[in-house]
Amino acid sequence: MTQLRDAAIVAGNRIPFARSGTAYARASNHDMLTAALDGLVARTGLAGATLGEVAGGAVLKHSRDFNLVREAVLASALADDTPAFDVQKACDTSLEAVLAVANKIRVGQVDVGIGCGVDTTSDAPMGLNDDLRHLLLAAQQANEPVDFVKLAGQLRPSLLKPDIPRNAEQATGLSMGEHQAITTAEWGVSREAQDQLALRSHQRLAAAWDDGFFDDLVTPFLGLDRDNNLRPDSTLEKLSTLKPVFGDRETGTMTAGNSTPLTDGAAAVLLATPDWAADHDLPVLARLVDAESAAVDYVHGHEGLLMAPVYAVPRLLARRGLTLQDFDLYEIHEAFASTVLATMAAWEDEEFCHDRLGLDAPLGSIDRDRLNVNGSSLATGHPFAATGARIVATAAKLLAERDDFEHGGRALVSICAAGGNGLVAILEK
Amino acid sequence: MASVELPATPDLGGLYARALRGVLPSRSSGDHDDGPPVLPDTTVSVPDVAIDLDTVADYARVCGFRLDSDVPVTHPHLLGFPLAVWLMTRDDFRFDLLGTVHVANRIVAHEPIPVGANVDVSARLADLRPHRRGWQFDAVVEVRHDGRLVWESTSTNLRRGHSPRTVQDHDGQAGDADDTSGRTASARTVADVDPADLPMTGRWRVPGDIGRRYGAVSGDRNPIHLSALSARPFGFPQAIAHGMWSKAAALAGLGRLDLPCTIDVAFHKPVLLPSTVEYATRREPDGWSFALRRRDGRPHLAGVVTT
Repeated sequence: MTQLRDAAIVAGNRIPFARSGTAYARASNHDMLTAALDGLVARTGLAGATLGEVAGGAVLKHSRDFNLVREAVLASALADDTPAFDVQKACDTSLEAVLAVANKIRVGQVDVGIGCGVDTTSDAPMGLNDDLRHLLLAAQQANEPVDFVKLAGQLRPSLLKPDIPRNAEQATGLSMGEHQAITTAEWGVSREAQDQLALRSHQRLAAAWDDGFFDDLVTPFLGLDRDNNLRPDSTLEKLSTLKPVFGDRETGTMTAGNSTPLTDGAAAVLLATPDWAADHDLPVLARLVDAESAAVDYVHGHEGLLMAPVYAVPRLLARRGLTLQDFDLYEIHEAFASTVLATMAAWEDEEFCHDRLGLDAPLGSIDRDRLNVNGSSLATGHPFAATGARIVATAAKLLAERDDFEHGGRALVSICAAGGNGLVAILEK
Repeated sequence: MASVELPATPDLGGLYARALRGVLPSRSSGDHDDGPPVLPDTTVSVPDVAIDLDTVADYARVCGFRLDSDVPVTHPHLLGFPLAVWLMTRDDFRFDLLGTVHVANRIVAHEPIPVGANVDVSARLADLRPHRRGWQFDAVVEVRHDGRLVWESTSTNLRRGHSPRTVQDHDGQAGDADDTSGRTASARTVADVDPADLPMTGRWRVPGDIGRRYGAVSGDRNPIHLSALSARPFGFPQAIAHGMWSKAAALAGLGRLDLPCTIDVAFHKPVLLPSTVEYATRREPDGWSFALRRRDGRPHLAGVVTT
């Protein structure tokens, strides 16, 4: 086998993220993804260029959007003969898309491509309910008048009730928050620790915006030029007054303040070989060097729905010959503040690491000052499929900005997902 | 030329009601016959018109545009059209609005207009000229943003009948729009487009309610667009699509346009609703040629984009 090539992260772009039903209430996934792509293309001077591949997706998706990414490419400033495909892996969607493009680059199938994702809960799909759908399917097969009479006899007002997508696991019927509340209680994650993490996320994101960090990572859209979920003036006092929304309504610790809100947005990452980047006068911000996916049995296996990255990381570390402390930056997706805290607690727990992860010693703790240093999903919001591309772009730029990293510039990206999935990746300067 | 500044965009419903009175039998029928035809020598304007996101989103959806941070290239027509109609329902407008046919439209888009912007809109009627089938004149709309002219449109209208006998037939082949095409300064004109000759890009099923839907978004609820019943008194067997809807939908199909650009369209046979039409396009060195046509090749609309 020939030598693998480097997959360089060359640029990233997103539109500001917006809380559901606000600035992007009228925008579709197609509108937002095209805007994110066009901003990326404009900033990198690639208008009219044919890329090797664009991979991406959305979680909440109309059935007509089966080719969403290809349609967005057609509407974008990219050349119309740029191929594209859709991926769907819940909150891991765009990290998986970035990985797919990186892998194509590494094995020599393409020189340049984009990984991207978009989601809207404002323009969410609704379907016919299953009873009406089956009735209409049967009507298509009906030939005789008597068949139609029989079908007409099945008409009920309840058939008009639409099928609305729910934030719930198919296998359990529990929402993601309800699942996480179980994990939160199991790990004994305190309300105060969650609120502190949330507060810090807002403060750090606000500082990053003020510093101009996002100037070359974000394109304004529909009049919005900053994430509108950001609460720079939030305080622990304000956060502590919020009522629990998941778990026990009295003793629960998860609130709207330390959980991510429903969010609309889109994000994209441009990847290429270092040679291609040099030929196009574009920088190499970082390289995507490896990734590992894992899943947990949250249905019958008594593991938390969002704990899969906890399992993926030690496998990735072992393959790379690294320890958990060999990183300069950690980007752990803040699905909920308690997800991040439970993940870190598990890596520190000797019994868990031995029994569940099969390790001789715990992975240990991570330096909190290296964690989500420019804020994360609690502050930006979390348009499911866009989050991976947002995090990769942020981590890559953070790595590119400094030359004095202890480990030469290495970042760990960890994103949990619905269905008990998880995907983690390593970026290096 | 006099100028009138209105505080807000006039309501088209009221203007049409006023125009409708002109075709009622009680009034001396048809156009004002006293004296030679003239146009109102007035520019009407509305300052500081807000372009709101919801209206743009509704317009984009009906016409097939993607919702973006800048308005669709045809959208400002919605801002200027009521002003042109306001002029055409004044007493010093010597034709009846409802007998006037929109035969051509040229848009010059100088700069993108952001959704949420406030713009100044003005309209005037100009260039009354005899035509072999009556009289033609232009409704000229200008949109300014931060004092700069960002968008302008010239809609050519034909008032059929009362043909001045001194006028020779023109030799143009583009139907009623013939002498508009001759007036363009650019090298490639809409007269160069043979709608039957363009390669087919798509087949559209234009729904029967598109006139009502576009009417709801634009405020242009001219009865000829709403239903067969309301269109029949005006000589149409069915409702017909708004010309500016078909222009907008045809442009939406082209995707991104680099500004500045000029978009010329000649309207031919109206699109009867509902119907299936062919959409035909061709990339040109300086832009596009495009058309909507019946399946037998007869044209509804021919257009060019030049950059």
